[in-house]
Parts: sequence; C-alpha cells; structure tokens
Amino acid sequence: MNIETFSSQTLADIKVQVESPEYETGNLHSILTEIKFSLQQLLEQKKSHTIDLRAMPWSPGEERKLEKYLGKGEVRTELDALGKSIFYETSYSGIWVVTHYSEDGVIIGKSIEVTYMPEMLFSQYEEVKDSLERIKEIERIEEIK
Amino acid sequence: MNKQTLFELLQQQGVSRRGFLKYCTALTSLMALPASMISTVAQALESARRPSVIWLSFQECTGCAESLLRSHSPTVEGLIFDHISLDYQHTLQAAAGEAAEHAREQAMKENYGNYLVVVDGSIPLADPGYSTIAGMSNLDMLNDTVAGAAAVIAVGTCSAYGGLPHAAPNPTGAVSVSSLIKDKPVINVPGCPPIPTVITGVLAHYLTFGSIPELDRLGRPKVFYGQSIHDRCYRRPFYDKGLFAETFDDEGAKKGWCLYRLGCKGPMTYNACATLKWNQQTSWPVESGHGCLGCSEPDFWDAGSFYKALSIPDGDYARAAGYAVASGVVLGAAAGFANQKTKSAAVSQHTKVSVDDFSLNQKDTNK
Amino acid sequence: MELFSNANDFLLWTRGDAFNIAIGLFIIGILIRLLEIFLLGRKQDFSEPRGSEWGPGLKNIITRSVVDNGTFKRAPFVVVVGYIWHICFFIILLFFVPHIELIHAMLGLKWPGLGSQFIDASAVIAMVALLAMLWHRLTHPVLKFLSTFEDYLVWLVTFLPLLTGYIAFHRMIDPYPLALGLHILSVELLLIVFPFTKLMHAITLFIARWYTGAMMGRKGIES
Repeated sequence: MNIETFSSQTLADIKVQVESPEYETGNLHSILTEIKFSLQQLLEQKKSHTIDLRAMPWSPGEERKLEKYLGKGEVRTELDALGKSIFYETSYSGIWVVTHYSEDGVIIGKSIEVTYMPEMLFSQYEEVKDSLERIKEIERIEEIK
Repeated sequence: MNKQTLFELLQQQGVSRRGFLKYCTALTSLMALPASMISTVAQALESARRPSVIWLSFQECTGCAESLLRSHSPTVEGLIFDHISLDYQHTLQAAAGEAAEHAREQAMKENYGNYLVVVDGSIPLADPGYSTIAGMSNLDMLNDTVAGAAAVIAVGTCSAYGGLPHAAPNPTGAVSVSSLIKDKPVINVPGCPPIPTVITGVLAHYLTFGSIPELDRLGRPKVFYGQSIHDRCYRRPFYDKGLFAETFDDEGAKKGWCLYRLGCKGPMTYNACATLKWNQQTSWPVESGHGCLGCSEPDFWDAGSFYKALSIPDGDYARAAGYAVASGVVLGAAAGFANQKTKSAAVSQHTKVSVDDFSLNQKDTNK
Repeated sequence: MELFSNANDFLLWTRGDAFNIAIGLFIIGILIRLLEIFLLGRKQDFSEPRGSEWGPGLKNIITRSVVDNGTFKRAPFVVVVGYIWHICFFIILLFFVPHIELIHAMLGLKWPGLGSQFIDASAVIAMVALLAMLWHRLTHPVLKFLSTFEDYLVWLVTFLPLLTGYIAFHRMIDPYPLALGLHILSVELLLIVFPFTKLMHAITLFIARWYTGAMMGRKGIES
C-alpha cells in the first residue's frame, strides 16, 4: 500500500515569513573554522569534505548570512534527478553549495562541499557502462540495416 | 511481494544513479548521520529489501499519523513511505472489517519474524473495553501482532510512555508499549506528535541497515534524542547572559530572549526540534516564541504548569508552610517554656559556692 | 517496588512532596530554635539607659561583618577563605536566574540575575573554598581535635548543593531531570538540617550581633 499525499499547495506558496531580529548561535563561526580546515585538507591530502547544513541549529536568517558571506562564483549547474538539485561554486574556489529539491521544489538536503568537484556531477560508473552497452546496441542496429 | 530491493524499485521507476545518490544524501541527513556515511548508506540500500510494516493504533488521537502523512507534499518522508510496504493501518487502508484484519494476518504470515510493528496510542489495562479493534482488545492485538515482529516502533508519547491517557488519574489504566513488550526490541519515538522526519528517520535506519539505531535509557534513538532542546537552542546565549523574556509580549520577548522564566521545559526535554524544526524547516515552538512543553518526556502532562519555570516547586508549598508555621509556633512555645522551667529549676537549685568548696581535701573531691 | 518509574517522576517528587516536607521542617525547626531563645527572656534591666538600643544594635549587625585585626592575625586562612566562600555562595544563591525564579514564586520578590559565567565561576570558587576549609579542618591539629560529627555533616550538606548544582548546570549526569532532582534534593537536605545545626548561625548571628550592639548602646559604649 502506498501512501500518496495530495496537496496542491506547499508551504512556500503560503508565504510564511519568519520575522525575528538577528541573533546568532555561534555556529557560523564554527562552520567557517570547519571550512578552513577542510580546505587545508583538500590542498594537502586531496580529501573532500561535506558539511550537512541541516544537521545544526540555526537562528532565523543565519543560514542566509552564511551564503551571503560565501558569495557566488563562476560555476552554477543544475541536476535533474528526483527533482532539481543546484550546485554552485562560491566566490571561494573549492567551496560548493549544494541544494537538493524534491520533485515539488521542497528542499530535502543542503550542504557545503569542500571539493574540487562535487561527486554527484561526475558521470556515474554504472551508467557509463550502461551507455557503452546502448551505443553498441545502436551500432548493431545500424549494421543490420 | 517484498523481494525487490529498494535500488531495483527505484531503477524501475526510472530513477538514475545520481537520483539514487541524491536520495541517499537526503536519507543520510535524515538519519542524522555524517555526510561521510552517504556511500555506506548507498551500499546498504543497494541490497536493502522493503520491510513490511503493520501499524496499530490504540488509545490515540491520530495526531502522530497526521504529523507524518500530512507533513507536506512528497519529500524524503514520502519516498520512505513509498519504500516500505505498509500492510495495515486501519485509518488509511481502503479495506475495512474482515478484509482489513485479514490483511494484517496475511502480512504477519508472509513476513513472520521480519516485519516491523508501528504502534501509536497507549494500551488500556483497567478494562479492555475502553479500546477495541474488530472485537479484539488492544492488549491482545498487540501481543498477537508483535509475536512475529522483528522490532516495534512506538510512535508518539502515548505509545512510548502512556502519554495523555496515562495522565493522572489515568482512568483507563493506560500503559506504554515498552511496559508490555519485553522480548522484542522496542524503539520509542516520543513527541506529541513526534517530528515527522524523526519517525521516517527511524524507519529509514531500519530500512537501510536492517537494524535498530542506538537507543538511550528511555528507548529513544540517540541520534534524535541525544541532546536537550536547551543545549541546541539558538536562544541559549541569552540564557547564559541572563537575558530573559518576562512576558510573552515584552521587549525581551520581541528581542528573542530566553523563555526559561515563561516556563520553557527545554532544559529537561530531549528532542531534535531545534535542529530539524517543523513544517519544512520553517520554525519550531521556541523560534515561534513559546517555550517547550517537554512533550517527548514521560508524564509531561503531569509535570506542573507549562508556564512555570522548571526550578519552581510544584506542590502546595504555601499550605505546607502554613502548617509548618502553626506547628512551629506550638512546638517552639513548648520548647521555650520547657527551657524556662529548666532555667528556673536551675536557679532554684543553685547553691552559692564558697571558698570552702575549693578545699584541697582529696576525700572531699572524690566523694 | 520501583520508587520512581523515571527521572521525571523523581524530579516531580523533589519539586513536590519532598519540597513541602523540607520547607515544613525548615520552618518548624527555625521557629522552635528562635522561640526557645526568645521565650527564655532576659532579666529586666532596671538601670538608667545611657544610650539607645536600636541604633547601635542595627549598626553592630553591619559593622561586625568587618573582620577585626586580631582575628585576622590569628586565623588569616579562615577569614579569607570564609569570606570568599560566603560571597560566592550568596552570588549563586541570589543571582542565578532559576534561583530568582524560585524566590519570586514563593515570596513574590524579583530582581535581575547575573550571566551564567559569573555563576559558574562563583560555584567553582565556592567549592574550592569549601574543600580548602575541609582540608584545613583535617590538617589543623587543634581544629581537628575540636571537630565533631556535626561539623562534617554541616560541611557535607553545604557542599552537596554546590556540587549537584554544578553537575546539573553542566549536565554531567544524564538525564538532566535526575541531575536537577538530585540538586533540589540536596538543598532539601540542607533545609532540614539547617535549623538543628550550627548552620542556624545564618539567622542567629543577627540576633547575637544586635543584642551585643544594643546592650553596649544602652550602656553608652561605642561599639
């Protein structure tokens, strides 16, 4: 039995706005420290690191502040699998912001990736293998013709 | 019916490898695991099978099911739900009566020893007649269904601790699942209602790893209930600075100061609201300006006023103090008069000491 | 039989019945002690007063808080550590917000609290001071000889609220309701022991100082 949830409206449509003055949890500071450390690791050991932004408490507006700090860089790309995902490199090379949306446009995951290129953007081994098979198939069909 | 792995199912639905990885990313975040675990989760899910789930509703208000099912349009929660086989849920299933009960028995038979039982609501022991399903008492149905289960997930404060029905004077003799089921693992997912992502996170854990997550002393998954609301609260710095809202609309409240004085139960409440938040991560009670009620803790309903600070005594201490003053005065007066008597007795028995009394005669001093 | 089914029940008990019992015994005890002192009375003084009683009495309550040189020279350790302990103790008791809430709920009085870093520091200093006092008591031959069971009991019931409070504040015991419950219970122990031990000095010192001051005032002695 599958459960379907029927709703034409998401919360985004209702325009819920959280109005609260600026206060800080101090997590902004710790994230910046983590990013700094990860960049060093990336340079020295080529080790990528992902920070799940949804795993920590934020005060209202704090997350936006972080994004404002990081800014936007040269690369922005969109993935279309099980809903959209947006990858963009921040104004700091090697620091990417990744946001996953569901098919309904609801954010289901958000993270900062400290890496040369987010893993998910690479073509996937299994699917490359599959492509080869499909190309061969086309070739075979062409030959028969 | 459940022989397919989750990965195969997703593939059939035309989900790409990237889509699968995205799903795993969301799932890893949902289970509150570090992002480095994504590949482990992906590996586990490639071979994971859809578990059969039987959902039993006893003395409850359906709020927990609502929390989960009406949370919002299909998201990870929805995806998880698609990937378990929910074989019995009497509020949701189309079948009714005999057919519904048949579905439950069927699922039990087919997946004996492997299915999950989700319970919302408490079980009345005072009189089975307080709550029955298809003529069966809640207790009988629980025992019957759990017999072949791999694990039981008690969703909501009622099934986890007895909840609202258990509140004094507990007319139905309501008890929790864990007080009845001793031979199977019971995972408590309390909350009134629990955060939907927490419910699905626990399901996801079982789905992914085929095991139950690490639990705390109250049987709650540590990943979600490991820290108190207070420890993760963004208003905590105000507590530490001694800045408190005194009323719900004063300057402090507007500035977002700590709600301790307004009765916030954050310090004693273990839950993930501060991080996971509610309604698509929009807000949570404290962010909306109201203190935590402590709904994921046992007997939160009987824990005194929601609007009294945690450090304040709960009983009728003014009366106790009144009695104490009355009896203290009586006893004190008695003691005082006794002392006076002793004093006057001492005075009347007092004999003057003269130089003669200090004679060095050994015989005298030794007598 | 399980006494408490969970830590919350324990906390509720300490905030409920146990608190009522403790506050009851505290009040009864204090009234007994005070009445037995007051009802004993003093012989009426028929001499002509050379000065007033009230002024010097009240003044003496304050002035006697300043340590005199002789005492300081004789026991500098006790004086310094004693002062540190009492000041820190009152900072914690009167300026920690949950404590203010308690006082507000019971007496209706309210004042602003201090930031928790001050409370935290005061708690550590107070505990170190108490430990130093105990060490002093155990190593000083005369003091050790004079010490009775009551002295150690009083030390313990004073130290426990600090320790459990510190533990609860820093959540060193899981779950928190257990930690908080233990703290409240330790204070209740202190409340019960208070009237019947030398802890009573916290109240009788005012009577004694006033009386000394008043007596001297009546005799016209500058105190």
